[in-house]
Amino acid sequence: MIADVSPQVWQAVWLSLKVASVATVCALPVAVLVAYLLTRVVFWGRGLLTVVVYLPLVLPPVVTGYALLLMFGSNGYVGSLLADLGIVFAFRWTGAVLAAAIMGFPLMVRAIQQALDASDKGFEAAAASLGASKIICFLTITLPLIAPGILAGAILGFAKALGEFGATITFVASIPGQTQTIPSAIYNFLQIPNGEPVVMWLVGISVLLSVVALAASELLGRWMRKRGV
Amino acid sequence: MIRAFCIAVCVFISVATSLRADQITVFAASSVKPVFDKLVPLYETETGGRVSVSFAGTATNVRQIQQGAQADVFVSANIAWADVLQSDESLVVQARAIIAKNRLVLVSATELGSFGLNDPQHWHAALRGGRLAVGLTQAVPAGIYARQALERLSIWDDVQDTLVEASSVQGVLNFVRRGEVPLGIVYLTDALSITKGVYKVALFDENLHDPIEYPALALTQAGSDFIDFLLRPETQRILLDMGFEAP
Repeated sequence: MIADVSPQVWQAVWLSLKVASVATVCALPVAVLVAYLLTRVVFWGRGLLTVVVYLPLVLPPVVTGYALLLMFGSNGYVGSLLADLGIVFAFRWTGAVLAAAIMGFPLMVRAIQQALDASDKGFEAAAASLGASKIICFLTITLPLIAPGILAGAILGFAKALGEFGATITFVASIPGQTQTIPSAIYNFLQIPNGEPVVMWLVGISVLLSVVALAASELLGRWMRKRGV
Repeated sequence: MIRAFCIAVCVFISVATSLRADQITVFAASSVKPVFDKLVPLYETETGGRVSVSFAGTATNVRQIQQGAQADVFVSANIAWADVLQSDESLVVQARAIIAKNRLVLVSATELGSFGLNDPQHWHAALRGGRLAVGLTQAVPAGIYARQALERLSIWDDVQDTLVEASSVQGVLNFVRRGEVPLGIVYLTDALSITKGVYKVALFDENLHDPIEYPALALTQAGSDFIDFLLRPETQRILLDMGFEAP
């Protein structure tokens, strides 16, 4: 049984890592920007932006997946426009990335917002009074100060992306090698009588991945504190 | 005051147990939901009892029952999962019967002309570079049957790379109705339950796949009564009306 399906297992593990990494890398800069806007800038529609950002966290994932299908499917409102530019999400691994990024996004923003709230605004004010521009101030003062928060957000977002199931399977189904990540492979094998051995493999691998991610964040956090950032 | 409270508790307990006595719990495959929504009220008016039905994927149902969920009846979407419960030593199966059969049908997002299921040209023309949605071909019964049929038609190699595997038949219907895929394979009863945006293209011949049978298992005596009800000619007529076939 294991020998039979092991290619599918490793394919799912590899795809999950790829999807979660790409989703984290793409969403993180946006999350930093949005967190900064929400904590440091007063503008019209801030409440609305907050709601939109946090919606995927509280909505049932199936709803988010269906909304993604409506918007980014090949016949969707946004999807049909993007298709003209050659960007296709429907039933591709890129669609799984989009779903994972959107589901992980609120967790990233939350962690970074907390770091921004906790950081001392006095340093920014001092730099500004010495003539530093907003951009320089952000890059040289704020960013290093909130680095641990960004890291925490990245890890949380990555873990969420790794585990995302409901939105992904609703939006891009479960295509081996394209959109079948670890959770949908587990779901798949749970539907088969006697699929348990493979399920146990996949469960073991996902526990291992989560432990490694948590340990990495812990070690990085310690190293940062030691460096005095 | 204390006496009043004791009486209230006694009344509550007796009401609660009497309710439990005429209440049965049915765990059923999602694909029988439309017809069970019609059948359950009939049974309730006839017996005066209550029937609560939990619709879910068959595998989910089996695992929940094995973990101790109190079900009186289990309606499975395929034989294999019914056998899993039957061979479970911690459960006593009081009765077992096939209550209905179903068929597999090719559906499309746009109206198509005549379609030769064994003609690769027709498949390529209808797919137009798009994908074919099916249930998970290893896991969801509808997907397993679809794969068997495609293999026996010698079409499998032509369409394998275009497959989109959904977690349920509803997922397949959703992709077709939204026009995300040009073709999908679902049960006949599901195709009939949708009136807009999904067109029936062709029925798969019955000998192209294992028989699509719905076995019902009674796990209690009350459950056996419900299965007897399902097998009665009047009930069977309603099943036929909804597109099922006689067992």
